[in-house]
Amino acid sequence: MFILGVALTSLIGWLAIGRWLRGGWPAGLGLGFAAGAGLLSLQMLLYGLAHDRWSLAAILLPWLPLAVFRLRRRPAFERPRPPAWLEWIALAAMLAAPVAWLAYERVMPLNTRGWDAWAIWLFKAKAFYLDGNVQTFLRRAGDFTAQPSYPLLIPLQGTFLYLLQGAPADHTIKALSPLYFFALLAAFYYLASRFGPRAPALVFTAMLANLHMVNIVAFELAGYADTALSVYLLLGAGFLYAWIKEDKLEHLILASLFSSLAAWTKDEGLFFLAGVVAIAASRLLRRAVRDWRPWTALLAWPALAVVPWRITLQVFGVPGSGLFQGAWNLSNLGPGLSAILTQAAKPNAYNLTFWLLLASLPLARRAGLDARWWILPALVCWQLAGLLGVYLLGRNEIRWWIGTSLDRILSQVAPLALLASALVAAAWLEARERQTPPRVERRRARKSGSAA
Amino acid sequence: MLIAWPHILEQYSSVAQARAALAPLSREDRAAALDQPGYGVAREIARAVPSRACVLVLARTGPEHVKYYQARFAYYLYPRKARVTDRADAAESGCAYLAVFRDTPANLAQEPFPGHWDEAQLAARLARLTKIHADESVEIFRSPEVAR
Repeated sequence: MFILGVALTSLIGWLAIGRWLRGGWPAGLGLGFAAGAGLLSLQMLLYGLAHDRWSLAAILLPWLPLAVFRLRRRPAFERPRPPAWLEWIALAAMLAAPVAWLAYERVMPLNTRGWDAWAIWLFKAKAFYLDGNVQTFLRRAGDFTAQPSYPLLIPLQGTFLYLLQGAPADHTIKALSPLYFFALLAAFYYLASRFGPRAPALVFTAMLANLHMVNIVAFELAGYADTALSVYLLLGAGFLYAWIKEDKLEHLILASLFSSLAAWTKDEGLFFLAGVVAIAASRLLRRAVRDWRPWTALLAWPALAVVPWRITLQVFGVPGSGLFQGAWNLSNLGPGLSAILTQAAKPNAYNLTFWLLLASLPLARRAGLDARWWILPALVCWQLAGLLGVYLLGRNEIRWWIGTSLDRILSQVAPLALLASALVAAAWLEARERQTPPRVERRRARKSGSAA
Repeated sequence: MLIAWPHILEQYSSVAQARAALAPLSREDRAAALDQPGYGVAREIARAVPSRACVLVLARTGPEHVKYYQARFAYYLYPRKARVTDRADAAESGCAYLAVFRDTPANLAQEPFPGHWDEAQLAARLARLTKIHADESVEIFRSPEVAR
């Protein structure tokens, strides 16, 4: 039933966004899973507010007409050409860390480490399942220390799986985190190969697959929402870049959808969504766009993913997380900034991710990338600036705050930072290839030279 | 890969050790083995306390462990309301059930108990209640006002 739940999630996501994707089945599966989880959980929120009990039929039946419409013709995924030797090596390298982490036993020590996942995310999934709706728990929110105001994508996705299984089997919701990790790899490869050749895209995807801190967050801290958030941040930024580069409306729809799902996953995503909406809106305003379609594409998803939940919190009188509340404490600037830079520079945590990003900044222009590429590092900096802002608010003791948040937040933006570097590497390789004559021509030139 | 490799090797070895220790156990036994003694205690409370009731857990444990057990018991015992405190004289505040839980010596060695815990006062308090369950890790009591 768990596998059926995951398959249905991917299918629903693919039904919704598949027409705008190009590429093979890993992209359809990975991006479909990410989109499907978000759409299902939003649907469940609206149902859970309107009805006493969820029913699987009510959740799944509305997708049936779309499935009939979309599947009336057999879906055609691109058939990839066979990998070259370097690509085989990258594929093998991609499996090294996930194989080491995937053993089920690694999920169990969550019991003794990282119990926030139980207290916040898994707890709500179980409560919603047992109550059959979201209202009962929200009415009792004061009875529990479960951060009731946090967004509900992960808890409601867990509830959906519990409904299929007929029991709150918590090991299945913990398995979502590794699944998001594979969706992250699929999303990264999709974006990197979309804007560059396949070989560097695979090499950088392998680098992402072996990032130690990203592995820890996905596997050892299974049950948290950070891996899911990193998928949505990556896709939100990647499709925003695609929209700015190619000016196609569907990219704006996808950028807005995935950024809104980031906000529906964690409060950090709300900050990211504000950044994406600000960049897109400023571009539309600068170009004096009066057409209603891009504006709707930009604002409809945030309205659906953020507004109902915020209204619900108000209606039920649920207190906020207080993340952005508190008095400014500028003495936290030094320790906060220093901790972010020191931790990001650690190769044993993030490999060379942030060093590569730093190296990419002067190289991007020389590789032939224009100013549009800068939105990717800008969004990484935006997220880190948000984190620094939270440290400056001084709600918690700074050392404790850094110790409990920094690694996870860097792991959320590490894939995006790596994507920015991957695009520079791909552009640089392509530029070099254009400058160098093909091997056949070089051979001919040598022959004609020797004949002369 | 060169930078990532030591972590990957460490992970392989850690998985092998975990597998050796946990492979013969059922899923429930694994949870009990890793979550000692939260899982087992919560299971006993869940058996003894009705699903819509409130239970006050007096826990002789360290301050971080209080937070830990609060999260664990809230999770395991939902929809019951579970409140965990390290003060033996804490008020019931409308909770009809009371559980007394003494943490394992290993956990207390890791984080010593700093709370308020007077055994004589506790015994007098418990004498007024009906004992409905007792084992080596937890005792559970019911207020006499609760209808059987």
